[in-house]
Amino acid sequence: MEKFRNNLLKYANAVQNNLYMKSISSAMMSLIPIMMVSSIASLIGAVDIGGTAAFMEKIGLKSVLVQINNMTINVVSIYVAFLIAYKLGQNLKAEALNCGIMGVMSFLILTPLSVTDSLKGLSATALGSGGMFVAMLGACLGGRLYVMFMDKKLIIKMPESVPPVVSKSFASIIPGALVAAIMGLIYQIISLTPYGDVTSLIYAIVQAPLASLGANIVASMLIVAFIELLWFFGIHGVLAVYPILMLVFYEPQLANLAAYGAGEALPYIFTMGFILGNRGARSLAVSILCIFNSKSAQLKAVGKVGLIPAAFQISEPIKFGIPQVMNLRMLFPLMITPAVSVLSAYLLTIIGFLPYHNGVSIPTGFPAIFSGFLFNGWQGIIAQLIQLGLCTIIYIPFIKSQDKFYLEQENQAAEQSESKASMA
Amino acid sequence: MKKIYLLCAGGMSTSVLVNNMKKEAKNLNYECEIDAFAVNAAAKVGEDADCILLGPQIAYKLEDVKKEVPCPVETIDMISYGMMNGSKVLEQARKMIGD
Repeated sequence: MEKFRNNLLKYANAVQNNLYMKSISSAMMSLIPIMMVSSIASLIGAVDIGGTAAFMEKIGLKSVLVQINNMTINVVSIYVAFLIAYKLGQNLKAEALNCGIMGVMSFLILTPLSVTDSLKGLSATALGSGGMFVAMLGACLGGRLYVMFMDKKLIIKMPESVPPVVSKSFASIIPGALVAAIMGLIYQIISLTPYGDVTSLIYAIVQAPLASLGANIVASMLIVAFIELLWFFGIHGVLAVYPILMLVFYEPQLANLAAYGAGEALPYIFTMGFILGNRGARSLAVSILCIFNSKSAQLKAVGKVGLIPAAFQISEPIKFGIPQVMNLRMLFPLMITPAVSVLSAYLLTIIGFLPYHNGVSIPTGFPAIFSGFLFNGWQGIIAQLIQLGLCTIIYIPFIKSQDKFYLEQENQAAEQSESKASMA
Repeated sequence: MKKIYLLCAGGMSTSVLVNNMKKEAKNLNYECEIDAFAVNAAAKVGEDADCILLGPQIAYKLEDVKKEVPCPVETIDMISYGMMNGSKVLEQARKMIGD
């Protein structure tokens, strides 16, 4: 057991501490404000109670919202390219700002220019979610090369008498030019291949296979069960698998958000939000069972402490208080409840009841059940209630078993102190 | 005034614990500043912290965080964290500071 835990820990650490994973993860976290803005704009724009939609168009609000969306979600790859390269620079203890610029530059050089009759421009496909992997690649490669060239002192050396500000700006010329040249070369070579440009190439050989790898219900169920297995060992499950989750499911999420903002049909079932948001309000289920369906003082106390946090998606009090961590009695329900919940959401989706996840980002800690409304409308609330029901039913025997265990302990302790008192 | 900072994945579950610790500190008339942050911000907030406590679910980051900050770093044990036990964790923090 201990060895398995240590191996899991080593894996979690290795993935997390990989330089590029770290940079990509923290860049994605910094991207959240942009995603929030886009989400809010999309949500407001989608509201259509009574004549609100027509009203919004009349006063020009709709066009503001559309523009906000266009310049956030539909050009998200530009932000991603800058942020990843910037964080990479920070992690390498280099000049982060210059790295960020190199990231954007690399990404843009690798992106094809679209030419129509009247316009030369960059397509939203290449700048939006479709370009995310190019942005990641360009930022990692360009940023890393820039730092490498700067470290190797491939710079124009100015004589001592020149002020440092000037010599610094001259220093970055050669590395910058080299990065640009390399990116340009890659762009040119790829344009000679059947794919035509880097964006299409990356999409075909990286993004699409990765997405289809995860875009099935079995993979989703396995992932959410694995996340709970990590929790069993006391490791924050989502945090540990976040980089991998992101690689596979973030682009579908963004694509859905872009479609949602444009009022189009949502393309993907399996997104970050679908998988993570449909694991069921299981900690809430556990707290309710502890308060209303338990006899032991321990479980009643844990339930009371854990109820409100669980309602706001904070599961730690329940996880550490029951405890579910390192407690074999809880392992099965811990892993099976999110899998069953995701399965139920999937079934509701394919029969046509539950709409696809709209890709919106909501603040952490937004209450369960209600979050379903933001993602899927009123059907989302029903789906979440069904999941809550399923989780509660599954947990009943296991909480009872834990309750019995604590009750015996408490009774024994009471008997011992009673007999001590009667002997005194 | 001593600064006690708690870190967890998003700074959310620890904020519940922080409130309980603040209540306990008031009861004991112990003046201190207690706050919760996301572990990603460790290096930044560690600059002026007197001690840092990690939620058990990020205990695997203990060594990394220790490298990033000058002050003492410890993890909170699971039961105290699960029960959001303000007094126990405050006691742990005070021992770390030497108060």
